[in-house]
Amino acid sequence: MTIADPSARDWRGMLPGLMLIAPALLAIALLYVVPLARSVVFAFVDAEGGFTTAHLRTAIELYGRDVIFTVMVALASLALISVTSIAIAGYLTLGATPWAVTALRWLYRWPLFIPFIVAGQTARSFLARNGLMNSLLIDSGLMDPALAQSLLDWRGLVLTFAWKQVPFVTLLLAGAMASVDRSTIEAARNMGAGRLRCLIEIVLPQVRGTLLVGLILSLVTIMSVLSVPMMVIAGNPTMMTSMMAHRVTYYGDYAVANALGLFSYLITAVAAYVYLRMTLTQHNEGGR
Amino acid sequence: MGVEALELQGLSIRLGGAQILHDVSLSVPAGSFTCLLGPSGCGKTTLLRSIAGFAPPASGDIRLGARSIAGLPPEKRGTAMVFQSYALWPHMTVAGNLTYPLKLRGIARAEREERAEQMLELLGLPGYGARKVGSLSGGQRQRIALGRALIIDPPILLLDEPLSNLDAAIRRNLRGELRRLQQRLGITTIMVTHDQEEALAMADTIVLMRAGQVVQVASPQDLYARPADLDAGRFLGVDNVVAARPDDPVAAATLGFRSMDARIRDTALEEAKGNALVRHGTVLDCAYTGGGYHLQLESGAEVISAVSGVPVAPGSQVCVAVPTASLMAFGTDQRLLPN
Repeated sequence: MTIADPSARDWRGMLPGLMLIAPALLAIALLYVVPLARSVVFAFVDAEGGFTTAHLRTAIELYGRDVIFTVMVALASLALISVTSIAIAGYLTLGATPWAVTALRWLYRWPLFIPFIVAGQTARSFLARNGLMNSLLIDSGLMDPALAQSLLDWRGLVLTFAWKQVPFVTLLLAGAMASVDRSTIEAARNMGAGRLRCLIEIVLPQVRGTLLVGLILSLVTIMSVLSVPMMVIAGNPTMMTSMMAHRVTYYGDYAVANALGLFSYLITAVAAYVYLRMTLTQHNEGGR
Repeated sequence: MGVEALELQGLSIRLGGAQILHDVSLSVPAGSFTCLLGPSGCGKTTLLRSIAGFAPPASGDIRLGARSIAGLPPEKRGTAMVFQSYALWPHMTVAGNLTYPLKLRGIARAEREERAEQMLELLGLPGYGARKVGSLSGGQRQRIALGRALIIDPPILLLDEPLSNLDAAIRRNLRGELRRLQQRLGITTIMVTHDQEEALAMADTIVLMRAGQVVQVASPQDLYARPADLDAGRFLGVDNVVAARPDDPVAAATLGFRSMDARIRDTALEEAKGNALVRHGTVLDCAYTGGGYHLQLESGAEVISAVSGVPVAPGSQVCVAVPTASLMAFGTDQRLLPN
């Protein structure tokens, strides 16, 4: 052949590049894309190999409440995580008492190094009706023993997730706040803004993207943690992860578990879409 | 709020264990334009920041009008500062930047917007309100930063090297504009700069600083003609320092003068003696500088810079004369001798 096909030539030019990224692509395909596709497909396949929505219907029928519960717990946790990490990162950035800032900087990261299962176990002994928190409140005379109640329900989940994820989001947020042009903060204070207004109206809008990243990553974590709902709450309704594990271990029913997993994918996919759209908008604005 | 005078009394500032300002006292009359001038690291920006409340004083007092502001947080001081990097809020529009200080003061939206329009008019940027800050040029950003400071009608305006990030031509324009605006509004203004030309052109009073201390407070003319000591003189462009000789017209340990005052005489005229400093020397170097020639000549152990209207070949013997009025006489302690 004397005249090379131009498209074949293009392919040959791309070959070294493709070979370089092949191991990474292969790992993503084998470890992520294939299992994901498989579980999505299996959610719609019946015993004879035909298409069915029966698993999906069973999942909604049996676990619809758990899906809603999961979404509500996740949203409440994210709300608590945002408020707390904004407060901590804000104090680290704008705090005027050096020793308090140093102490806080040192303290807030600790939960990062504690596994979820330990966090769940600790929460269990801390938040129970006769747990450490209630004992402390009763002993210090702040609470009537008759009013003591267990927080081992959705509140326990929200508190545990927040406790575990706040340091992570704070870490991202404090880093982003530290790289905000300091003079924009000083200009606002100079113009008469107190520190709280500075945080909310000047600093926070400039680190909005980072906060969103932190929250989306936290959402994915909350959607996938099994140990915390297993440890913290008993009975119904509970988180979807718990129900998926239940379906698989007790019934060997992968199809319905996969159908439940589909809801997890959908929820995180919505968050990912929001995030991508926002970064694209920011990117376009930055390029203009 | 009205224009107010500023008074610094024995102000000392320590930052991270280092003493930045030593016992600085200064009084700035209401409505005046004062420049803090000095080399980098002399403490001039720290002094400005301490007035705005960003550098807590170790001792001393800052008084604005009748009240002491040294103990107040920045947001309670009412000073308006323009930052070197402009510090415009990137997430707001131009109008948002201008109206935010008014919003902080609880002024109604309609009035805020009206005042922002007026300010844009005053700054020569009408119709820019809806633009993003990121789409403005350096000069435009500078004007918006200035407008944001002026919109609250502050008792005092603090400028931290406001023109240093701009091109030379824009800088010269804005320099005049800023000065005219200041005079029109009659606002007490303190500006930090390391550019002596800028300070001389704009200020009513220049405060010359060095190593955390005030070296000299004088009008531009006085500072230029009579710098307090040799280092101050060098900072203000006195590039020639020669040891005085008994037959020089002024008695001193050392004499300083600027090369633009040192003229080359091709013939060794003795008539200049008595009302001029005269040195003979060999030309080392002659460079064209646009309007004339800049010469380096060797006179004994000293090297003198001088100007000439015509080129002079290196190696020629020449005579340089400096009129007595352009000489600055320094004593053995390097301080300027009284006339």
